[in-house]
Amino acid sequence: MKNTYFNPTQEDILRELVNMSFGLSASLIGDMLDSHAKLHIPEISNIKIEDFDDKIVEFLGDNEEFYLTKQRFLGSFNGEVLFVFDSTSANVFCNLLLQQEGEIDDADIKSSIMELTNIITSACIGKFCEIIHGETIFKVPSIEKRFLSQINSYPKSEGYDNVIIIKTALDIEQENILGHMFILLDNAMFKHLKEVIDTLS
Amino acid sequence: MINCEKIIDSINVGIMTIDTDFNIFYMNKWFSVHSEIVHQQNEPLNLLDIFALNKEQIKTLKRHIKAALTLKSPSLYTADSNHYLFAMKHALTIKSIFEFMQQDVTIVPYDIAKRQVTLLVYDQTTLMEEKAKCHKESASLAEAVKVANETIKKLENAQRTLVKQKDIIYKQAHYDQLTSLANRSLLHERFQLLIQRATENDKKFGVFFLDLDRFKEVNDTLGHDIGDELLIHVAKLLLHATRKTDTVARIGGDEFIILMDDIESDKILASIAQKIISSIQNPVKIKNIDLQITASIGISIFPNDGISFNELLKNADLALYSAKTKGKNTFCFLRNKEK
Repeated sequence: MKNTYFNPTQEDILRELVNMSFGLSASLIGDMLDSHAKLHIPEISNIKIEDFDDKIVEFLGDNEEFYLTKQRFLGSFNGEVLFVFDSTSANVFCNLLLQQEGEIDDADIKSSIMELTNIITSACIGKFCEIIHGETIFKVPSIEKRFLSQINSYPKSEGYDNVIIIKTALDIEQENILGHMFILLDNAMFKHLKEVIDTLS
Repeated sequence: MINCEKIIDSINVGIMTIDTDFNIFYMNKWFSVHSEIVHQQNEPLNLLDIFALNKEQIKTLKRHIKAALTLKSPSLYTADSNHYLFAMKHALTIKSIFEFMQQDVTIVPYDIAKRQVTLLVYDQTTLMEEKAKCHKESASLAEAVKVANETIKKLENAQRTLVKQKDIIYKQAHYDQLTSLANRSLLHERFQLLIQRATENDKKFGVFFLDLDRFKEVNDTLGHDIGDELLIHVAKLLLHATRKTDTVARIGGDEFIILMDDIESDKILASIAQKIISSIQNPVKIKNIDLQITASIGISIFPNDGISFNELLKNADLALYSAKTKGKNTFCFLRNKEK
């Protein structure tokens, strides 16, 4: 159990790394929206994979509908990235991106969220790859709309032991968009990442 | 040396290198085949000369190119959420629900200094077709489940209503409407059961025939409303004075029958009868009118005073008559009457 979680120093270093990638992401997101975008300093924690669904429930609170994106990355840095956005945040982001006068539909929301998560994933996983001197190939991501009340019926991700949680709070104009990024890693990859982080302290 | 160009021209992936102004520097045979454009490598060509991208598609592609070049990492455009970037006929030979090829497009940085990227286009039409079919099937299945659930719900409601109606009918057939005590029909059923059980176990049980004294006067002078309220009050007293296993019935007017199960001695019956008489004679206020009423009870015992319903009831009635002639507000056993 001792080695299951990040210690405070590891968390600080990880936060700094993610924050650097967030800086890069924020400027791209700002360009996307022709507006100033600010990604807050990320809050980072990690949990065991068994507690993953409970954590999603905790983050979503009273929001029944949410969007979940998934993307595998393979190579010497290996795992899966998931993002969860409640439907309100997803709608707000889509409206900002498309600036459409008419009604936005589900396909618009999905494609907007995919663009957003693509940027954050590339920046963040790219940074992780950089520090572990690893290489990775991104698989095609997927997105689906899910319902909190049916969370137990969805298929679970297998082959992972740990989940790194990165809170992604994005301020654009007067709007605040809140999402959560989850990086799923197996024990070996998680241990390797921690060891590399320790060398940076 | 392997011939990479030969391989690139034979794979089922579209490969095209462009810059941020969409000038094409290279495209493999896949693109020529699917767009029906023959491109001489030295001839300048722009993406927009081949494909009519709309304003939104141009904006999106530019964003992806910028993300790929800035992050030095692939940017992905999926068929799942966007369907296609380049309007190209799909290669399916069966009727498809899609007019154009469904595409996953990966935008990979190629030469960051020259702001060039390579687009990798994957034909996902078959996959998307299957997905759409699955989606349609699961939607039909979900609809069927919904209809089935609604039908089950309706059936459950109908069953609940039926149970309720059955209950109402049973109550109407077996209970007195005014006092909710057992009526003659239920009394008869309980009587038969009691006779059977007492015979099998060699036990005794008592039958009380109770009649209110001068109840007719209450009805005649104070009205039926008061009379009815008084009957309800007496019914409650009788239930209170007896055990749950005993049967208290109203067989008409002010006549009540009580079946006292599993009686070991006459003394117990006498003490219960006295308890009932005492509780009834206590003054009571009904609709602001102070009333005092008394009751008389005749008692017969199974099997000494009869072994059938009619016999035991008739003998309890005879004992009641004795109690009335003795001055009312009292009880009487059949054998005392005979004495």
